[in-house]
This record gives sequence, C-alpha cells and structure tokens, in this order.
Amino acid sequence: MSTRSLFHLSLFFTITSLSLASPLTNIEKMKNSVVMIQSVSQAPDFVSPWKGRQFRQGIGSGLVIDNERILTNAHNVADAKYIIVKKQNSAQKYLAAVEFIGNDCDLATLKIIEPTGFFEKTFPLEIGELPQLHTTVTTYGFPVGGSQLSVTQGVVSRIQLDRYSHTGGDMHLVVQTDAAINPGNSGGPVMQEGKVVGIAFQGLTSADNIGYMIPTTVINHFLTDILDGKYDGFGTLGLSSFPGLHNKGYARYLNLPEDAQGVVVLKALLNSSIEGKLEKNDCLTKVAGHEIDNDGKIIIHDLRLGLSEAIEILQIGEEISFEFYRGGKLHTDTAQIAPENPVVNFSRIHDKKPKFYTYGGFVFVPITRNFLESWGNEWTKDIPSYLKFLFYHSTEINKNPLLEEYVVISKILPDEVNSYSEVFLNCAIDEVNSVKINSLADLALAIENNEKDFVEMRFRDKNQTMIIDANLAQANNASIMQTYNVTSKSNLED
Amino acid sequence: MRPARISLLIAIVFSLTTNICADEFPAKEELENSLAYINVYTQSYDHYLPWKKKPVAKSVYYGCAVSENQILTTAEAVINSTFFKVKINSSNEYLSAQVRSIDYSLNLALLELETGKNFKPLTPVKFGNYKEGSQLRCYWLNSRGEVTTGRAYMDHATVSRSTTSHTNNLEYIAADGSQEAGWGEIFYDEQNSVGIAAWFNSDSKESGIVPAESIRNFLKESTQKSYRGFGMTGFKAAKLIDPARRNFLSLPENEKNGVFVTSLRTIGTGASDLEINDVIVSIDGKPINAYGKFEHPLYDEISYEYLITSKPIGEKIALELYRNGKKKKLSITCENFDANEMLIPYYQRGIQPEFIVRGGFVFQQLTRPYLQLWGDNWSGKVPPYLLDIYKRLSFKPDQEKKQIVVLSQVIPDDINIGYQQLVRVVVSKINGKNITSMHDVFDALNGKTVNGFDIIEFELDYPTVVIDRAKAATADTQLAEKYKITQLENRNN
Repeated sequence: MSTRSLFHLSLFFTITSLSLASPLTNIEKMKNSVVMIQSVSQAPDFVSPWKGRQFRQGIGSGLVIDNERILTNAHNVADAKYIIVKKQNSAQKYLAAVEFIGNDCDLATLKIIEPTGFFEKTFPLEIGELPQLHTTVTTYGFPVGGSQLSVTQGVVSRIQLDRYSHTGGDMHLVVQTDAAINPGNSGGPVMQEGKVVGIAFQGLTSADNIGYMIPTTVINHFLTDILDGKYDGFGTLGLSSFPGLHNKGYARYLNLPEDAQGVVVLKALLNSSIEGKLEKNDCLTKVAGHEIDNDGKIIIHDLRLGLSEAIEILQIGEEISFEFYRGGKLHTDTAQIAPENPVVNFSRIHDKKPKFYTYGGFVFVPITRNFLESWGNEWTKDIPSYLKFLFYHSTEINKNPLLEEYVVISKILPDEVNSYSEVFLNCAIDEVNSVKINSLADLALAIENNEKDFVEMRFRDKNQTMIIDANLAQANNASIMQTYNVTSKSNLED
Repeated sequence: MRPARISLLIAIVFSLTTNICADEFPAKEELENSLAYINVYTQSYDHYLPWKKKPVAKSVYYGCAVSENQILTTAEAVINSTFFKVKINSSNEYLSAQVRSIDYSLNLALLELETGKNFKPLTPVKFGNYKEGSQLRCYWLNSRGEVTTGRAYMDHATVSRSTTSHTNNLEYIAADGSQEAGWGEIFYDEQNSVGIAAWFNSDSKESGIVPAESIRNFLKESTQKSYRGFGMTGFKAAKLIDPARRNFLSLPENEKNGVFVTSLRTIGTGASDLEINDVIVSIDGKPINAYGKFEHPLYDEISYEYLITSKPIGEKIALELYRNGKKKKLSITCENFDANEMLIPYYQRGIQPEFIVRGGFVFQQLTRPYLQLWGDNWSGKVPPYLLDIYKRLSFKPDQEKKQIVVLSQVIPDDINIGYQQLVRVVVSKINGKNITSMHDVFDALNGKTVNGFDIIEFELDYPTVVIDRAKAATADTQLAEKYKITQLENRNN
C-alpha cells in the first residue's frame, strides 16, 4: 500500500532490486513468513461526518510473529472494511481482521479469521535490536504490486527522531536506509542476522534511495502496550523546551553553574503531568538519568538522540525522573508519562467515527487535522486564516484548562433557518446563550437545554453573534435531515 | 407591428442626440495647455533591511492643470517619490515639481510646478457633474507633448476601497474603455471633466475614476492652512435582512431600514459613540436601507459610508439608531486618522521604518508593508499569529498596544548564538516593562539594565532573550561593519 505518495515510482528501482546477488540462507523461511496484505478502506467525511468517502484499495506487506499474529503497518489497514492476506506460494486468500492498531506509530497486528492451514510452514519472526549504523540490512516485501517476494539490501545510514507520515503529527525514532523501499514494501520486515530490525514504512519523494523503517524500539513499545488487551499509544510529559544555552549570557541570566548543560523550559503544557513541577526558565539537565546537552540531545541506545527518546521508550503511566536548575539550585522530581490531549491534535485520526452535531441545518464538528485536510492538498495554505491560527497556536493561546476542543460550523445545509448565516461557516464557537462551550458535547447540551426563542451563538474573536430562531429550527430539524439525507443527528462519542 | 415602429423611431432620435453630444467634447487643441506628462522617480525603504533603500524606480503618470502652475494627479503617483520631471505642451524642457498636498483616501495629489521666466501659465480644467450612461472621452499628454484621447462610457457610481488606502470612497466606473486609462488621465463628459483615472482593469476594460466631486472637495481643502481631510469610519456595519436577527434586536415591525454595527474600531468616526448591535437607520437625515444603501440624487443607491468619507473632519453627523430596541438620536463628529495611528499601519510612505539593532537582534514595528514582504498572496504565507493580529486589531490600537513590535530577524554573531532561529516574534516586555510601541523599545534599551543584561520577552511560548549590553555595543559596531548596516537605529521623533 502506498504511503500517501511519498514515493517516486520508476522502473529504475525494479532494476536495482534485481541486481542483488548475495545468497540469502533463509529465503525459504522468509517466503513463507512474509505475506501480502490487500485491503479496501473507507475513511469518513469530516465535513459531513454521517457520510463515508471513496473506497481505496491497497496492497502492502506483513510478517508473521508469535501467537499466530501478523504484524504490519497501520496505514495498510487503517479504516479498512475488508482485509485479505496472501502467501506467495498459494492462490488462497485468507480473510483477516485488525487485532490492534497503533496509528500513532503506524503499526498493527492482524488475526486470520479462518487460520486453518495458514500458519503451516510459517515461522514467527523474532524481533531484534536496533541495527548498528553503517551495517547491511535486507528488506522483504511485495513492492509495486508484484506477487513474488522482493528482496533488497541496503546500509543503515541514519537513526533519528522523525515524523511518521501516516498521522502527520507523530514523531518517533526511524531508521534510514538506502535499500530500495517502494510502495507495497510497507509493512514488510527489514532483517539482519535472522532477526527483524525494522518494518519498512515510508520513503521520500524528493530523494532517491532513501527509505525509512520503524525500529524495534517502537515495535516493542507497541507490542508491550497491547499485552493488556488495549492499545494506549505513546505518551508525553507536555514539555515545551528551547536549546538556547549555547548563549553564555542566557546561562548566566538563568543563574546556571559554569559547566551546566541542558535545555530551557518554555512551558509545562496545560493539563500535562509536569504542570506545576516545571516552569518557564527552569533548565532541564537530566531525564531518566541521561544527561541533556545544550542541543537538547541525550546518549541513549549508544546514539545521540533528542531527549524525547527517553520518554518515547516508556509506556503511559510509567514514572520518569528529571533534574533541573531553578534559581541556581538543582532540583529533582518525577512525573508520569501521560496521554496527550491537545485542544487541536496535529495527528490525523483513523479508525474513529468523527464527532459531529447537527441543528437547524448547521453541522458542528471539532477542529481536527482531518477536517482541515478537506481543503485539499494545499490545505495548510488554503484553510481560513483563523483556523490556521488555531491549528498552529492552540497550545500557546489557550489558557482555559477546561477547553477540550474548538467547535466550528463545518457545513450549512440550506434552509430558511440558516438563510442569513453563511458568513459564520468555519467560525469557532465560544458561547451559546452565554454558556461557555468547551466541547462539542457542551454545544449539544446548550442547544438541547435552550428554552429561549433564540439561540445566540458567540464566536471566538468575533464580535458579530449568530442568531438562530429556536422554534423554527426545532420545527424544521426533521425535514432538513430528510432533505439532505443526514442519516444521523449526532455523534458525540470519542 | 405598431410598437416596433415606435421603438425604431426613438432609436433614431437617440442616436442623433449622441452624435450631437460627441461633437461637444473638447477638441485636442483645447486641452493642450491643460495637461501634463509626469515622470515619477520613487525610492522606498526595504522593510526587511530597514537601514536600506530599495533601488530607484521610474514610472509614468498623467496630470491636469487646476491652476496656472498646479497639476492634479493621483496620490498613487507620488507614493515614495523622490523627484518629478513634468512635461507640458508649451515647453520642450522638463519642469520640476513639489508635492503640495496628498490625500491617500481620495487618491489625489496636488503638484506645484517650479516655473521659470518663460513659463506660460496653464489653463485650469473645469470639473462638472456625474451623469449615468453618458459618453466619456479621456485625454492625456504623451511624452512628446501631444494630446491623445480614448473613449468609454459612464457605467455607474459606487463606494469602494481606494487603491491607496483602506477607506471606502465614492468612485465612478467607466466601462468599455478603448484605451488603458488608469494613471491620472482626465475623463470628460461633454464640456466638463468628470474626474481622473485611478486604475484600469484590462480584463473588464473598466477604469476607476476619482470623481469630480472628490476633486472639488480636495482642492477646497488644499487651500486651507492645514489639510484636514475627510472622514473615516470607526465601525463596521452589516446588512440586516435576517428576520430572526431583527426580532432579536427588538426592532419594531414597521421598521424596514437599518444596518447593525458588527464591530467597533478604537479610531475613526463613531468609534467611541456607537455600540455593537446598534441599528443605524439614518445618517444626516438620509434613510439607510437594510443593505446599508441610501438614495443619492445623482448616484442612485450607494453605500452609507459615502456620508462619512465625503465629509470634512470636524463636522457633525446626525445619526438615528435603535439601541436595545429604543430609538435614539446621536450627533457624532466626523473623524479620521493617520495610517501611523493604526496598530498595524496600512501603509508607511515617504518615511523610514523605525528600528533598532541590539546585539544583532533587529526590532521593528509590524506594518502592512512588512507583511507584504511575503509577496503575492501574502496573507496565505505570513505567520498565522501575525496575520491574526493584522486581521483583528489593525484598527484597534489602545493604551496597552499602540504598536506591535517584532523581533524581525537575528543577524548571526557570537553574541546571539543559540537565538539565531528566533524570528518574527512579537515583543511583550523589555527589562520587565510592557512594550506598547517602538518608543518604549528605545526607552527600555537605553534605560536601566537588569544586572547588565537587556531581557526581552515575547508573546506566546518563545524563550526569553538575554543580551549583555556592554558586549552588544562592541558586537553591533562589528556587525555593522561586516554586514554593511549603515545605521543601527532609526527614530522618527
């Protein structure tokens, strides 16, 4: 399955992968344990959330791991309605279902619905360590739709924290290699010395021969997370920091000892686990025992990586210790890794029904990346400027700890109730009849409980209020839903 | 059959009259001594490197005589001008000129020629009145001193945004132009001029005309000791056609007129008199309909804003409005403001931007020209935080924020290592003092330090900048040398 056209397809790639000569001892074992995954997916429409969008078909790879599970990329099976698994040497198609999916780390496990015969001759592949830099790795998969297993080799060129394109908003460790990784390779294993050292998952369109795999630190995090039967995902401390201590004047102003290194705390995010523990202008010097340098890097897995890697490898709920200077004095403290609950999530949502509420032909939705992406490929440029402002700055501008999400009018289904309200499309609601709106549920409640003749809606940073004739809206609700084929009035569940 | 014959007859009569009218346009020779060809040299400041001026540019505009030695042209022509070379028909030599007065709102400027001994006084043109649908002819003097003409017809009058300002002013639209008249060419409707060209749209073949009415107002004001100018609105109002909203605002059933105030500025006419949700039903006795239009004897239905933007400042304006369902009369004073009084000035013309370089950090005022550095479609490209301030607060300066000061860039040097990625952030405090304007920045950076440091804080979650003042002095001298920064600060009084 293509990782949202990050790849450049060309014949050239196919030739390179054929030029491989080194004999692979375990090729038979791999042929049985690396599988092809075909899926049909359908994402919901975040503007008119009762509707589904177009079907998408995709092909990817996966590998057999212990307990008769198949490990693959989340993007191969996200929002999937139908999943088929195939082995190279057989025509049989096996129906599969998602067991666990971690969209934030682009990993999923599948179960075969009728596994009879499927796991004969397969070997659960063992998850290894992080590969060393400059060593050779081998990728296995079914790139660009071919039905034979393709094997390519390459060198580990870089290990760093990077963006995972499946959600667009998550950063985790990635391993970069020059082994040919093409659409269809996604979800296939990257092997070294008989063990899995990564899952191929994304590439770059702007460069040749740069492929990325998900390293085993992330795979293990996912597999450990689901042991309790539930996927919780990666957590956070909610720290906003700045690597500015190269500046001696800054260090002196902060009363730091001459040789101290670390990062300056800009903010402990609202509702985060370090709120009240760290504050602006604290200097964080150590995290989980790792010393932080002036670039904000730590030595971990024998590599120099961003300090967030120390948080990354822990599960939600685990404690982490840290050391910091405040007012010239060294302090130590601990905090819990907590789930991230931003007002606007930078990550794309998958496998969830979008939230919405309809009233008088107005469709209300929370601001999500998916909603903003409805403006098309150039959405970061094309979205209304106020939405862009909220998307990029919500953590900085929001001082209200109760605020869960920004609610906007995503669509107006034309009716006499809303004939004069076009100007309020995409505006973010602040109050309804003087009741503060902190979530879509608040909005629904405020409207349902309204006893006045008018619903007066106040918007964030806008003077003009919107007036809805409540009796008219009440009277017309049913007919509006019927006319526009709105199959459900609301979904307020997360 | 009968009606067809009648209409044919009318058509013949009509075309006869037009022919007669066409003959009454001034002959080219009649205007020879009234028109001017103007070479304008301009040089503006580079808003990103505010110590630098951009290269000199040259453009061509046209003008017409309004007195023996005075030329009227558009304000656009004189923006950032450094020198004028004016050609008139009676002389082969170029004449220099000085700007006598400018009104960016009206898009008009008055130039005074520097005349020598042999100067033959110009013949002033006459300005007449608007007539919808009339044939128009435009005239201008070309670079060889010959009068050239084109044709168009008067399509309509409208109130729209001036090309050189944020105000909505009266404008005539000439349609079907045979020539691209948009640079000060004069338009005639028979024997009288109806105005001068301000813009031309090559797709629609339309010219925008600064009306004779505005020109008369402008010339009258220009004779005053100090130019006062005309009103600017201090509020925004929107159409009021939604029955639910009319009910909500408790308007009586029989009241069909009125627009409602949706936003208030802190400067301009009505800013301190009006309230949000006031419903304005008449201005100076003229009923304002629910779309914000009133019936003008010449122009048909035009926007209420005309009643403010065509009025000299200081004069009274009578308002009738509903506030909380009760009818009220207000007498407000017509006011305007300079672009520099805005929180984010709409333009900065003929003046150098204020700035200060300290420790390689460049602090300057956020202005619209600064935002326009992002190029075409700049509003889609500028940092969203700055755009939000621009969109919401440009017209709302107050005591806490008279100007927005940004750290525009950091010129790399050892003294600012660690901070060099910090750009385009809004300054909130320096050395503990709130920053409300560039004036405060100069004061704070020349006042007491915090233990030898200047401490700069920003809006949003940006790091505190710490500058060692003693070291900064040396560093800045070296920086100036190295990066050819000719000036480390500029203060305009």
